[in-house]
Amino acid sequence: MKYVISLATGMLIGIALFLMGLYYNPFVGSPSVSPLAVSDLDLVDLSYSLVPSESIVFTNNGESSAKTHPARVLELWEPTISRTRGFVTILMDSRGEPAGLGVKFSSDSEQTTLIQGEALVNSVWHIYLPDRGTIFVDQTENFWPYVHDIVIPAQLSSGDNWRGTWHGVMSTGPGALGTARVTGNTGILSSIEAEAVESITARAYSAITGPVGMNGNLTIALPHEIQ
Amino acid sequence: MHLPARGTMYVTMAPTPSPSGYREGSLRAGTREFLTLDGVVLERFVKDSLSLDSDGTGRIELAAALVGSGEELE
Repeated sequence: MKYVISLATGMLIGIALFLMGLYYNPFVGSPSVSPLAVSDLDLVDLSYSLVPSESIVFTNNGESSAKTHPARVLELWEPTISRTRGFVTILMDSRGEPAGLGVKFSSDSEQTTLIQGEALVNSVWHIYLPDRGTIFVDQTENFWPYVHDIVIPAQLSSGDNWRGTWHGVMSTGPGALGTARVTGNTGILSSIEAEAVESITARAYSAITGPVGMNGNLTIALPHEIQ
Repeated sequence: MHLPARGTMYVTMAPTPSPSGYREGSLRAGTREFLTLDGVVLERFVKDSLSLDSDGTGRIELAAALVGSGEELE
């Protein structure tokens, strides 16, 4: 009997050490400086709210803490799309004025390796800017810093929430510097091939309802002749 | 078109259908499996044959024909 108790205790201690190693991994950082910060190209900033109730449409499998919006929108519960989110929002320019519409699809990546600090998501944006045209943004995002710094502390908090100031760069590829790939489609943007970076600035998060005070930002580096 | 297990196709579609009833489009960009492929996408409305009334119910059918180099397709 004592061997069984020793084995069970050893396994529990091992699991606890493994989880602590994942969470406190000293080799995993949280990038907060955009690789486009030193770019000499013209940067276009588009921002949006990540609070589901402030979007036009937000849907997921219905089991996440982030609730779908509007309430009766179709949920993505089928197995092939159950780990996918759909998001439609108004994009604001750097002056806070509406600049266009954005449609984002994101799916959990099979390349995720938590032991390396990577909770990867494959996502694409279809962006419509009425005075410029349409573009397509393809990227891989790493949500581990977001989960590590916001979601887990909120889950562990006695109030089921997190408050503070957090800024993180989400884009990790496919560009060599961790940038997203931008392809123009119509309008004056029709022929461009460019780079972009998506980031999140968070102020409040609830483990029960998801993002409470949180904005996303998409910075697109356009060639000078497009401006 | 976002297919979570395979990638995304970003397709530019013609605004109006051709005489054959299809709306045609071309693959402008793709991700993952569709990253290096080229091709066309056809879209048509298929009326529901089981529907007894003619209220226009049916489905939209998308057909993609994509090509790449032999090495890529393997």
